[in-house]
Amino acid sequence: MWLVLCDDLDASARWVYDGLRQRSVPAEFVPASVLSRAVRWDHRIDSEGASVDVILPDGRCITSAAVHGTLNRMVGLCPAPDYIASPDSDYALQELLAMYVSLLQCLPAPVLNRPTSQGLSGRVRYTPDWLILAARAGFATASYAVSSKGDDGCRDDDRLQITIPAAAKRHNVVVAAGRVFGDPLSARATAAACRLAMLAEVDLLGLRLATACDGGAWFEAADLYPDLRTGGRGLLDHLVGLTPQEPPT
Amino acid sequence: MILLCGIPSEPPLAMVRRSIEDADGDCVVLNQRDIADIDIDIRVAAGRVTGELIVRGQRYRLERFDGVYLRLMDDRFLPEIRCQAPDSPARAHSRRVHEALLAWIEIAPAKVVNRPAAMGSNGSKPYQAQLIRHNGFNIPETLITNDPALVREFLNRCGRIVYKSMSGVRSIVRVLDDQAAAQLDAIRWCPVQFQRYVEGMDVRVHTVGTEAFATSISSDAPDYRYAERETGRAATLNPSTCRTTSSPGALRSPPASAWPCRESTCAAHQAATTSASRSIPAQSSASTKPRPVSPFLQPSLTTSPAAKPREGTADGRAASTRWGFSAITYPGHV
Repeated sequence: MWLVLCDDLDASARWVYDGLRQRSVPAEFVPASVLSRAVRWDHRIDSEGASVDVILPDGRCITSAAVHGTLNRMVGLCPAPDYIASPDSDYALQELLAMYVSLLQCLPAPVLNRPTSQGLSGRVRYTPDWLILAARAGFATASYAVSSKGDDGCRDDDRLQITIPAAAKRHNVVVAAGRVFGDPLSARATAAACRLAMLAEVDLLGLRLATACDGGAWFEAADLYPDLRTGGRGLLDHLVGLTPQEPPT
Repeated sequence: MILLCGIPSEPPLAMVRRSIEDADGDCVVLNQRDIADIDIDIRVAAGRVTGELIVRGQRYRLERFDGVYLRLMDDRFLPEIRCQAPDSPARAHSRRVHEALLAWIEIAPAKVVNRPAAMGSNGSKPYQAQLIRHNGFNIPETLITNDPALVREFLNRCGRIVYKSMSGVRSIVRVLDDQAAAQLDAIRWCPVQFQRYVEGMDVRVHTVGTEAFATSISSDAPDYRYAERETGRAATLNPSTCRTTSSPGALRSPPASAWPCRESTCAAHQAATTSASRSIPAQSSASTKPRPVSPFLQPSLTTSPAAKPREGTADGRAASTRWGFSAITYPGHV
């Protein structure tokens, strides 16, 4: 069974879920608001391994032993309003978040993306971090400057000092488990995109790239929650191929 | 040059500073309490990071720092900041400095002990337990649930269990006694972590690069940090009784698997390679008072330089090892 975990309004995740079902792949769609209202949690860890069994408010039981692949696009918790209103809510929300990271970690591979302590769906990075990794992966990068001296009112994207040639052609791609989907790229850019995902230690990564007239590939931005529809059917077929075939439901 | 970040009077930072100065090393202290007089500029170009740190009017090129010891407290709780209005310029400035500093620290080519990403697993103890298991240690049997029936079954099977926070919010580890067991219905509201109580002596281990420094801990309390308050007798810490020099792999060797490990203050797989310095016993923060609301909900301790919002160590008088970095000196300086 594929498990699709996401924010409630995540159209990309819904698209993947529908695509899996159309391919007769067993799948469960669990948005954050449903998961946070689970009626029973049973998460165990010992020297032999880890497991999780969750009974959802609609009666569905998600057991890690039955999961053969996970699309994890959890952004954060989605607790009920009375939870937030409690005087203990700060502590309780920290506890829930800690539990989510752990239970996502114990799901069997493939998990796109695995949680980290810096993000439920992969490590959230500062822009300078992405620029360093992108340069290491082989992309040309714009320069970036930030200062603590006074609020310049800039969004982080605006701090990029754009040196990307204006005539460059823009591309949106999704790297998924070692393959690149979306707009066509040169072989060199494709290899750099895969390398960047590897350096960032994520299996799923959206990239906004540009190709200059001289063929140079520029990195513009990375996204742990890309619009997966960019990847088209090829992406869905690739996801299905990552897991052993199960009897259709 | 080494950059020390935190509160200079905090014992571990003070010890590191003293060690560097004793060794005639150069260091710059970024005192969080002076946040209003600190600025940082970062520039990233062609895969290189450069910039400038300004501390009380003194300017330092970021590229000149070849080492960073990081012991920052949550800037929201700095005495100079916590009383500020949410939209005050002082608070906004503090945030900008810390954001920029942390962004630089993650990518600085210097030796950083430890980068925030490497310390992040403290934020989820069960997640960390999975990483620890992956590195070859045994870990205590753990149950996280909001179902009292599962806890009773777990208790029956294990005989004796403790409960503790899952997150980085420090809590006092307690044995699930009859009184707490009678209130188990309270966990329906929020899942709680329970662990098998492991008999034996606590051993706290700090690894620094390829060296491990062990401290055995004798205490009658399940949580040695609060032994005096709980039992009237303070825990006895015996440091450096089994200092060893070994490769990092030694921690993952078969004999290590006989040692249950309940937590680490830095994920072992991300351990920085640095030269050895000295063992630093756990810093007790017993002067602060937790305010338990229910036996299973233990709010954060008051944050102060002596009780920073980072997890401590012991959770039971048990045979265990923990490893992490509390102090560091650098090659060429010591």
